Amino acid sequence: MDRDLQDLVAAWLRNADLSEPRRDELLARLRADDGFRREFVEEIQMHGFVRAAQSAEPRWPLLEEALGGRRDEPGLEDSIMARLAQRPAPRRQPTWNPWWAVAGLAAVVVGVFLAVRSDGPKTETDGPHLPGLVAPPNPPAIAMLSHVVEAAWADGEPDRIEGAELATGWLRLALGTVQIDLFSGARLFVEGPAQLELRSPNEAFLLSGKVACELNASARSFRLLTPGLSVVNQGNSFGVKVTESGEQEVHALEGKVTIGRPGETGTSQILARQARRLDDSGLAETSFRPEDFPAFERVRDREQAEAARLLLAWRAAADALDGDPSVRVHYNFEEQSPLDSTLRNRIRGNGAGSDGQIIGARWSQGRWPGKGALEFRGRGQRVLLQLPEAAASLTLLAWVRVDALPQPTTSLLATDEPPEAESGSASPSFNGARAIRWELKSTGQLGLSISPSPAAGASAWTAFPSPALLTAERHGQWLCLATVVDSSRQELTHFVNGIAVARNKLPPGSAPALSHLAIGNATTTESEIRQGLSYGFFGAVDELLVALRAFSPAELRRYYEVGRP
Amino acid sequence: MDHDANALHAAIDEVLAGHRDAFRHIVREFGLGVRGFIASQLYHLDDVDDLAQDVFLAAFENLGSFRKGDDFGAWLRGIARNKVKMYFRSRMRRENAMERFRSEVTELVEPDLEKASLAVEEEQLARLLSCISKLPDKMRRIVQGGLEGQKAQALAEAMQSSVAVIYVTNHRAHKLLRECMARKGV
Repeated sequence: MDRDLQDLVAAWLRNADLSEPRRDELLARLRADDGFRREFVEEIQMHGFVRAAQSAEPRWPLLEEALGGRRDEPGLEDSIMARLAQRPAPRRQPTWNPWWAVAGLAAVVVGVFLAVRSDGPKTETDGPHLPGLVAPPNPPAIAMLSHVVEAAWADGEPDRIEGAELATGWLRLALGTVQIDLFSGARLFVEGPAQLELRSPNEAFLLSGKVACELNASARSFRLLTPGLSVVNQGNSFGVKVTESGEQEVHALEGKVTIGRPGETGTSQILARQARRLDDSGLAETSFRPEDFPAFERVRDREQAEAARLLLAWRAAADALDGDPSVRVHYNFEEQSPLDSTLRNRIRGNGAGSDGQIIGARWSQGRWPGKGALEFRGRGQRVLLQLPEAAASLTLLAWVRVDALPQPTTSLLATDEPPEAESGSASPSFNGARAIRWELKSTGQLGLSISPSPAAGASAWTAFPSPALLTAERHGQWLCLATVVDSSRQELTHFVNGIAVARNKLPPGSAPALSHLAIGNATTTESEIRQGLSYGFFGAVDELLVALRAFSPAELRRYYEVGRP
Repeated sequence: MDHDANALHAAIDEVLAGHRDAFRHIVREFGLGVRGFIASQLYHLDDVDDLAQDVFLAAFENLGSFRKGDDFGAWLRGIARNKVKMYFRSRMRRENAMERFRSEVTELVEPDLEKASLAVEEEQLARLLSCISKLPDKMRRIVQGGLEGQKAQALAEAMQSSVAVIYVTNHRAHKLLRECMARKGV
């Protein structure tokens, strides 16, 4: 970034005061240099768009008054969603680029959005049709991206996240540190900026950057190549550095390391705490500087510091949410003992839901170290709760880790019938309200199913599914799932990680029954038991919220962003 | 910007026929663009929203003077430019040299900013939020945090980095966002 541009942007953003000569200098360049002026304009324009898009939609009382009073109109983002829905489904880019994953997701989302929206509600018996989601064949993985600390991938790279499987190929890291665990047992700590090619479980090529390699006793040998060196490790650890200008160093961090040169038959060895530098005359001794290389302890320390910062930010946002009068249940799974059999509702007072009664589920770690969660392992396990009142509009939000979807339907949160309503009724109804089941399908769809209206005489539940987005590659990751029922607009919208993924038109008379609910399971009818059906959740939940109003897409996106691990 | 001209003209006709509620369509369609345009020139977000409201009020009152076939977004930005100028003028009397410097910069880059605004389609703006959410972690935090005022220093401290690196990373994030917004179907 041009120094003048940086100074001008900093001054523009009130981040720096400039002397008079410097101000004159910058003004002169702005006048004379078209390219510089354009670049500055692009920078401040994007600042403006980002600020406007990310800020809450303003209230404009004078304008409302001029228009004749405020009405509950859809927000700006709803309007954006509607426009997106009117566009044809996008096509996948022919070559890989960093936004490929986004484009693919959006294509599916928009396609399904259109299909679901135009077709109206589906019932389970209809067998809702979703566009094909055939994943392209993946090359076999040879490593895991085990840790990602304050990292940014270089331009043109996919946005790899922690826990991703890695195949052979290039990794270009712009900033931060990542830990790569190869299936051979070799462990690489890569510090950005770095360009590394994974060639096999036993070999990688470092074009530039710093890599520390660890091998424990169970690992096979590993070879790290550079443009001028071949470094072989048969135990312990070493560090290799290749600068942009081509300077190369090898440091034996623990144990001895064998170094070879391309085209040469012989090798040389260096002992622990020794280092070699490659120059024109060959390998030369250089000072041993282990601190130059990323190390397990430092990566962990920074990772923990980052996690602590994220946890604090989420806590502040979660506390603020508790002040919202529409929120009736907010389980944040915090400040609870692993022996607690009650899940504390953070909302108190009139209209608040009850604490949860934990049945069988076990306490475990949530999104960050120090954050609690409940782990569910299928049959029987659940948390029971009650709500004193119902409302036509509703927001359900949960941070969940899905470990498996082994049965056709898994219940996240469901109306739990009181015993007297259960007997002899396949279509439970509570004073006109209809039972709901917030659920996951084995196909990876998030859905809300609503029991039939007794008046309609139907027997099948009506399902409102999302596209199949929670597929196996997302298992084990923390996801923010939300479903919003907006009665004023007769709409039901599903969100995954703050993004609206499906919108359905709701038929009239779909007020949900919320008085008795179960998290992580649903009561099966006798007929379902005979069929061997069950709804138990396999995974973990570390936050759950029930609000009696429709949250806006902007609210949900913001809450996802502040809570993403 | 790329708006549905028929829907816009229908809304204008309705407003001019006395159905003022139809103006909501216009606010909804152009709200983000106008706020973004003003936010690129002003520091305080509250001021941005106040000025944006003034722009729409002025547009509402002067809607009869808008000629169909002209670019409605450019017409709104013309109103916005005047509002921004008046804003700077009112503050220059009491503000310091840096404020005057910023005002001068605004005037210098005004034609380029208008040209750049013309090149951004509504569809692209609609993609911005999704694009931000897909930025790499560090970039996303910087973009979401913003660099106004003392935020750049605070971010640099929190990320154990330097202010210069924060600016460079933000610059690169903007480049990625522009690429992402320009890509159809994201």
